[in-house]
Amino acid sequence: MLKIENLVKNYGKCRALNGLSMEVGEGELFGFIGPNGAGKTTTIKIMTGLLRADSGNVYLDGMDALKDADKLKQKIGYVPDFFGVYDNLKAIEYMEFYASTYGLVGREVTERCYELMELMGLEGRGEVYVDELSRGMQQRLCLARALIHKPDLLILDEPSSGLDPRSRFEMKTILKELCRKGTTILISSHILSELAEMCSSIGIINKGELLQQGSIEEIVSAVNISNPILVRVCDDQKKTLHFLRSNAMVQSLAIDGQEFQFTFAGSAKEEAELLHKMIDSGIRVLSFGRKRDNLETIFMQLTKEGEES
Amino acid sequence: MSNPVYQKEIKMSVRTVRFALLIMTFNGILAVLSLLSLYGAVNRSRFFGSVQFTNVIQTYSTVAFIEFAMFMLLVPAITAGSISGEKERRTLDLLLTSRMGAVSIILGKLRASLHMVRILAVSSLPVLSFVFIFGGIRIRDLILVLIALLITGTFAGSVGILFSTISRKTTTATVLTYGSLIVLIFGSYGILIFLQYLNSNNIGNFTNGIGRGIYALLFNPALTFCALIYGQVGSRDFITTLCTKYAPTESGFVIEHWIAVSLCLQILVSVLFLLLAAWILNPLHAVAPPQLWKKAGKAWDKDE
Repeated sequence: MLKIENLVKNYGKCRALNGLSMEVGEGELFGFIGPNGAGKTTTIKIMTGLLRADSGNVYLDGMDALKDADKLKQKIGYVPDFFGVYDNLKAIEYMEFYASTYGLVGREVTERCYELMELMGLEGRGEVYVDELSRGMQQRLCLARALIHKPDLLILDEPSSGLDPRSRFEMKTILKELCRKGTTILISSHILSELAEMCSSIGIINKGELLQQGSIEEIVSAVNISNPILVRVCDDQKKTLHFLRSNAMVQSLAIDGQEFQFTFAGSAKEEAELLHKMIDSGIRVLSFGRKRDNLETIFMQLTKEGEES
Repeated sequence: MSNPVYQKEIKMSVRTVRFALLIMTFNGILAVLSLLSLYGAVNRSRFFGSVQFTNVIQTYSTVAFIEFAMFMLLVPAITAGSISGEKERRTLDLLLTSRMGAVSIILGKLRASLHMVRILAVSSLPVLSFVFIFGGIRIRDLILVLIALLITGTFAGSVGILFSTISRKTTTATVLTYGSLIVLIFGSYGILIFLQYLNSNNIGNFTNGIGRGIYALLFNPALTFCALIYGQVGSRDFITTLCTKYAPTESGFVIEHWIAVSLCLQILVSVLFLLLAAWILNPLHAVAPPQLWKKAGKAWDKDE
């Protein structure tokens, strides 16, 4: 669906994007994560035709998006982080105005505007002035606006910023529903727990480079592979200690009651064999597995590594 | 198909009380001045036994000049916030990500601004038409005034839109627009007066006046409007007098057709300014706008 290749953007002497490459598959809800100044907004601005890249390519459905801005605009719907409103414009007029900027006019368009507003839970608000709507409603209206021309890819830059928990939940539900209906969504956000709940895949960016990309499980597994193994046993501490000490691949062993924590130098297959041997030797294992980090910890770890390097 | 930005702007502006108040105040001032002037002219007829035609004509020119001055005050105020207002509201990115091109956005904004100018110009016609009671001014003359006001409005509007595109804040754009128009109108004439002063005091060699430098005044809309009105009321040949005083060696087609040439040049400059504004507004243009402009704009905004 979306393919970015070696995107480079400099602001004077400062390099905002340093050969960024990533891919977003069709129908995905892709979370775009990175600390402030990582290059998220720059990437989004290039994708939406608001900024010119110094070099690199953006392909949308195989089409070179940077060379044909008009086609790109037809295929992309954009929701910025800040929702600007026009005074003296009603919600339905706001929708119709943006429809007309895509060359869409007429009765059918008005009906589509109302349909989208209903989808966003804004039924009956068409005649209300936009600046009289709550922030959550304005954000949903902005989302409805971005869908007016039936885009293939919806890009949201920090859509939940400034929203209360209820509005955030509603926004999340709407995005999941849109994704279920086949719209590909790229969402940039700082609220990692929220992204972890709804995104099918994520990309972590820092200093203009992509650090990790894939499904949350893939990234978690990739990062967790170096994490220590945690084993809980049922009152066989001495036997377990003896067993683990006899294995050359077990290192940095620590004991806390019935819980054993150690790093393992072997492969995943050897890890499975270790568990098998433990059970065969009569140790009653309650639990065995790598210590699992959440997305937030992984994000912190990856971006910290980026800072150090 | 109509320009969406134009339609939106019109819809938004006509809903405000400000819009009605502006038309009322504008025409109210003109009407009061006209009526006072007319009253004076008629009142004086009690002493002279007939209406002094020159008084009526003078009233016409006074009202026309006031209308011009009000245009010059209003148009920058309307246009200077056209693009910078979108930046301040943070709605410009949404427009730029739509299928509307930068040129369409600029033209929509200009048309919306000129819509107000058009309404003001047309609605003031009845006030200007009082002169028909006594004669001396033809409908053709009135139409010419209207055309000149619209062209000058477009010219001032294009300056406002250009600065609005460059500036991030409406206040900056307004100051820059007024500043440029003041320099253009008063500055160019001030140079002539300065040169005349040097000449009268025998400083430097300006015996032939400023020579071809007189043509720079073609870009001064106030001077052209003066030439038009003085030409209509037949008081004196404004441009010939100007040339005799400041550039006695200059004559020919441009001097003879000063008003037409000046109005054409104003249209040309307006088109250039609007194209430049569209070029700057387009985020994907091939060459980045001069960094110096950006730095100057940022420094100005910071100072504020």
